[in-house]
Amino acid sequence: MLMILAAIEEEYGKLNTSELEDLMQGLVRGDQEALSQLYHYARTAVYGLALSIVRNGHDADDITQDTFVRAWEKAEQYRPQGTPMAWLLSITRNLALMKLREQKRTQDLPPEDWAQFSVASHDVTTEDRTVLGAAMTILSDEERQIILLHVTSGLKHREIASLLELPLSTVLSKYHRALKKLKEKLKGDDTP
Amino acid sequence: MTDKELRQRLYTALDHAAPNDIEGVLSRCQPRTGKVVPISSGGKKARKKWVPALAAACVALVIAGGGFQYYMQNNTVASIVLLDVNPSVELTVNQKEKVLSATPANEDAAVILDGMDLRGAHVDVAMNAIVGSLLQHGFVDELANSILITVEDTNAERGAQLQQDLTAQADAILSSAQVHGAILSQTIQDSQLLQQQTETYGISAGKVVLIQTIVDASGGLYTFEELVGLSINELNLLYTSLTTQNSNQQTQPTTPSHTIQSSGEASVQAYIGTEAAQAAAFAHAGVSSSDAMVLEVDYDYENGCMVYEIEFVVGSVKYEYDIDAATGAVIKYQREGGDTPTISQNQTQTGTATTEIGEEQAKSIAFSHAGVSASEVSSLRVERDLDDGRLEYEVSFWVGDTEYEYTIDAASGGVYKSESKSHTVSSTSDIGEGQAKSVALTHAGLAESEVFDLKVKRDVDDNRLEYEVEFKTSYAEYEYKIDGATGSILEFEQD
Repeated sequence: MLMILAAIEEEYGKLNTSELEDLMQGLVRGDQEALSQLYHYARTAVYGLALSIVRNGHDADDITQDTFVRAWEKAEQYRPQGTPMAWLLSITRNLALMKLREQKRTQDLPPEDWAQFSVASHDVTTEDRTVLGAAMTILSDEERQIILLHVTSGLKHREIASLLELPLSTVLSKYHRALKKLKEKLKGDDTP
Repeated sequence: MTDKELRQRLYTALDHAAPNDIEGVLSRCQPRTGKVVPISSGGKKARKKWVPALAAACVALVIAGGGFQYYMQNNTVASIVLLDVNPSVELTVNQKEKVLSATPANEDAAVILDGMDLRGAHVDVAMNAIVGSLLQHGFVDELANSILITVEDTNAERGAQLQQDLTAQADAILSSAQVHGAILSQTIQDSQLLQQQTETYGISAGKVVLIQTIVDASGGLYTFEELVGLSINELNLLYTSLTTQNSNQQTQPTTPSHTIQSSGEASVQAYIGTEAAQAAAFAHAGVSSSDAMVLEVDYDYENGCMVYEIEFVVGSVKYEYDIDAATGAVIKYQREGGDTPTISQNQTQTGTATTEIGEEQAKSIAFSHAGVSASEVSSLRVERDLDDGRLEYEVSFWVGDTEYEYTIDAASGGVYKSESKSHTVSSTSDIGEGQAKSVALTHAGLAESEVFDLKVKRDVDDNRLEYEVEFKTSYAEYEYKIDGATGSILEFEQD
């Protein structure tokens, strides 16, 4: 229950676990409409996690598509006792980590390089680029993954801890640290 | 900018940036209907047709010139090779190890064999082609890397040799593709005896034997029906877990009558890992990893999902947890002995390594560096943290309106990071940490003795003094932001 985020959830449209389970059953049956609904609901979270790991818009695009294709192919392996979103994001994480291993692109990008690795979508505003650029450059890998997951996925801190294989206390402290760092950075950038 | 505004801004940016290309996804996901074709409609019936076909062919050949023996060597089924991942393929092989037929036993296998004509190929070559196709179609990957090879042969020695050759062949192909595969292999005598189960469950004779072996070895823990829906990778994990429990040997007979050879390790990458599973159990139990002595961590299958079964002891209390292997959710837990656990901040933060400087020394180093005395300090927090494999103390405190943050190396006492920041606070009123804690606990309807991991942090946001209060119970986590001047609740979150 995320009371403080109620307004945000209303705006984004939130599905409960039971509705997500229904979509997963749809995938098992081979229902493309269920896949479309899952895609529209989860694409931002999947992309956010992929981007937070690979830090490259084009690779994150590819991983987003591969995640849903993999979910379609592997839907039968999903067990109803789990959380569909956590399962989906574990696929994303594995694909993103494999991509990193393939490319060995683990060195930090200096801030000025973020723009060239940035996202291609025409919907992205200057303000969007500022906030994403800040998240990509000043946060540690774990801080970035934790905060982007928290903002987009609706997963609880405990579920994020499980997904990222981190202690809950680390997730909570890094989440707060990331918020603070971003606020300070953006306060500086936003000041004329 | 408030936390909420920042979160909204991040979400909006990602929503704009995320691809919106469902057509691209759908073009790669064709509609499916059903999932498994009963195996009886594939290989088994096809094999029965050999009897009249062979009889007719033999008569014809004998009449044609006495080539009967030659014909039998080349066209009689000597061995049957079953390959299971989820695709299930049946190969019939003659005495010369040439493939007589390759039959898909389910729809996934039809995809794997599509466009291949393996008849007449040596079984090694056929194995190479099939494993290559499994890799290419993504049925064997880092998330699920297990293959079951079953050889059926009435000649036990020949069957065992073929089993060994094919396992080595599959191993070599996976290695050359840089995939860490895990292969289970076995030899069976007569799959006709298993026909009822293969037809009832729509699985291969090889998988029937593997499941039955696990059921027998589990001593009543599992039933056949429970395990029939599991993938080969999941069965491999269970099998390995059971055999490791029974003996430390990698490969061993689990029943007097049947032997399964195991090579490689089944992938656990679709799961959260033992470390995370332990962390989830510790968090739920409200204990720290340094206080817990872990007795056992195993894979198990419970209520329809793969779980980590974790047993650990803290003091005189023994805990048993089943943690969902895919999600980290607590499926089941049990606590025996001891009193109700009340874990204090100190207990959770206290280290055990003898070479560390300790909390007191860390505080003293930070105070000295800042040029302040302990009596001036308020809102002091000391956390022991592991960052990039390095143990360190994070010390934060306030003196008046100035906030200090230090990172001290736990081994050497060196100052890694020091930060001080003077805040402008609009109001001089300060309810203090104790009152902030009390406001949050009252709102949650909990007494301090009912919660653990209670943390209070002083902060200033937009010139406003705030207290962040966090605590946990066995069932929930609470986070509050309290106005430091008025004591009103600014934000509240319960997970």
